[in-house]
Amino acid sequence: MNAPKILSWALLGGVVALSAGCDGEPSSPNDVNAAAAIAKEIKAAPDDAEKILEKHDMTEASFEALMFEIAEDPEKSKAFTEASK
Amino acid sequence: MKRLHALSLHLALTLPAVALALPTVAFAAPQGKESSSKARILAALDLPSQAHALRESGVSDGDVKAALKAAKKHKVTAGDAAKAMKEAAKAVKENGPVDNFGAFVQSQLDEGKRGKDLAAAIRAEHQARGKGKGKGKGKGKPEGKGVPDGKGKPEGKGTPEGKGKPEGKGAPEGKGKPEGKGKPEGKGKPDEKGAPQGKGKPDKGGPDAKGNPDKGGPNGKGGKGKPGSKGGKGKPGK
Repeated sequence: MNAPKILSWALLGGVVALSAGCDGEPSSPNDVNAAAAIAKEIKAAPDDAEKILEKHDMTEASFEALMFEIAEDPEKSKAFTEASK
Repeated sequence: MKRLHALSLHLALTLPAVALALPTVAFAAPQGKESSSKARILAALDLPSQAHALRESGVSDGDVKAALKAAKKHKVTAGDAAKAMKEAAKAVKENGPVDNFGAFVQSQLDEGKRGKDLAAAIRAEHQARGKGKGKGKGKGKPEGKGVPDGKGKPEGKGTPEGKGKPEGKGAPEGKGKPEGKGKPEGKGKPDEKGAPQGKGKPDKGGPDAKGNPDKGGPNGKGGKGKPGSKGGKGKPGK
């Protein structure tokens, strides 16, 4: 009787944890590298900036938010600066 | 009738001009939007790099974060924030960092300053309150040298010279005190006027004045003029 309840609570907890993890903007170093790759792409073809963002499922607003988030973190901003050169 | 003719003529002249102008306006608007969107995205790319550069220049992470949060709160674009950070990093290099940079940016944004105005305010703040101007590219060296060299040496030289010379001169004055006896010299003044004084001095003043004119003059103890003239005058007066 108790086993199904425990299992259901465990599943619910897992779902909550996953949704919390996916909720925010990119936050791991990999995301910084991805942002740096997008930045390099835009620098290479400035006229296609909007199209490049669309290709990566981003809007101007979400891209600005990502830039702010990276800038606020010393390590991320350093990593982004080096990776986007 | 004349009015109708005038109206039709007016319309005939103005309508084509309006018709020609409309397409240019209609096409100009979207072009502006595109370029501004592109410019905003390109400017936003700089924000992480400028924030990193500002930290590297010596501004604390807390101040950088506070400035960025204030920018987000006031809906400043990432591009404008990047320009402000760039200006701040430049100002720090020239004038040194300021205390509470984040709070300063917050206050300027609260006042409604944006773009160039914000950059100018940041520059002015660093010029006024920047710490460690001397740590800069070389501005400090001249200042450092100027203070000790300019002030120290002249002062050092001045005091000894000032003291030495007056003391040397003072000594004769001390000798001159006895000449105070000469105060009655006042009486001698009238004698000065009289040409014969010179003759009288050697006779009466001779013994008394010997010390003053003979020793004092040539020896230079009392100064030539003062002792000599006083002694000679006063004593004869007595």
